[in-house]
Amino acid sequence: MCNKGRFFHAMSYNIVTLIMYYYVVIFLEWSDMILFMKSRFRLLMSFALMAVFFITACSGSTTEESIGTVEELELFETGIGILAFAAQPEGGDAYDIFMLDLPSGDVTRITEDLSADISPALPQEGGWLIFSSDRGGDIRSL
Amino acid sequence: MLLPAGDPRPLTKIAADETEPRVSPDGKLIVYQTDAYGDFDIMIFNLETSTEMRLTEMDSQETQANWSPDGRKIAFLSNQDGDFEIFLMNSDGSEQTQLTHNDTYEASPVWSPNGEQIVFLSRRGSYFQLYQLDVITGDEKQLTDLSATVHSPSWSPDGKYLAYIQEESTGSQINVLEMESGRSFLIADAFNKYAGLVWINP
Repeated sequence: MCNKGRFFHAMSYNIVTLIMYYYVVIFLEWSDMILFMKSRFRLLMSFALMAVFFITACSGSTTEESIGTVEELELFETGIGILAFAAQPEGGDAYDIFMLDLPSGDVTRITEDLSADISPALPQEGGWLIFSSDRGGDIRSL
Repeated sequence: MLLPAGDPRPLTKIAADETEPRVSPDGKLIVYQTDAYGDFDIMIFNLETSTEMRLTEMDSQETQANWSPDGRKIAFLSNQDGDFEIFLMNSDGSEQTQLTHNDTYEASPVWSPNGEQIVFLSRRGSYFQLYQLDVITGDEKQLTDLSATVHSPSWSPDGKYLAYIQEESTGSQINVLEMESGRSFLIADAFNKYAGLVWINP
């Protein structure tokens, strides 16, 4: 499975490679050399770029340890619980609290506001989910 | 002591930074850290008597205290040997013992549900990785070996899995480590950034 982080990482590398490729093509056209090879050269380079892109994006090359997928994890078939976490939905948005049901993978949004809701915690006696928020200007636990 | 949501009041009144409070398993005590004595020390606040007790008095930083599941022990960090190491003490501050001995930084000690293991972060290479420490034998085991910083470990209630956050340059993701096989699995990466997680009983 192609990981989000690795995908964008690979994309940034390949944009640089693409620019270098077009510099080479422009040079060949300018110099009018090996004209008969240009079409084959372009085709070859396109295949090479695609191969490099998918290998770097999907092979897990940025990690020394391979990370399995959700589908591989047997616990999802039996169900073992719920993860509460803070997450930033979009780049500039504030953190909110979410819950992920592990058997189904369903995500439920618990808080939704313009302040930062972070650090979910569970009291020993259960029943409550505690989190910190800067609603009102200060970080407080609710 | 239950307070209405959004109506906090101070328990301690010292003019100092007092952070990282954690309630004991029986709900009667709060362990926290204070810099009231010049450097960070571990304190206990008794919710029944409203009294405080200082547990550490070294000329070093003691932080990130965390209760064992039975409430008898407290794991914490101290830099008394130059870098932060994992320490253990009784909940009254007695029998303070150093558990890790190396020249790198440890952080975020988290007890396993059965109280026999402590998972912590250690930066022994380029990135913080997860390690496991047997509290009885002192044996250590590296749990992750990623080219990325990991943090926020949280045990599943049955102790079979460990959720954690992996940081990448483009964002972060939640992984679950299967303790028996040692394999990690990508659980969530749909959001841009993740900042802390806790496992809840099913």
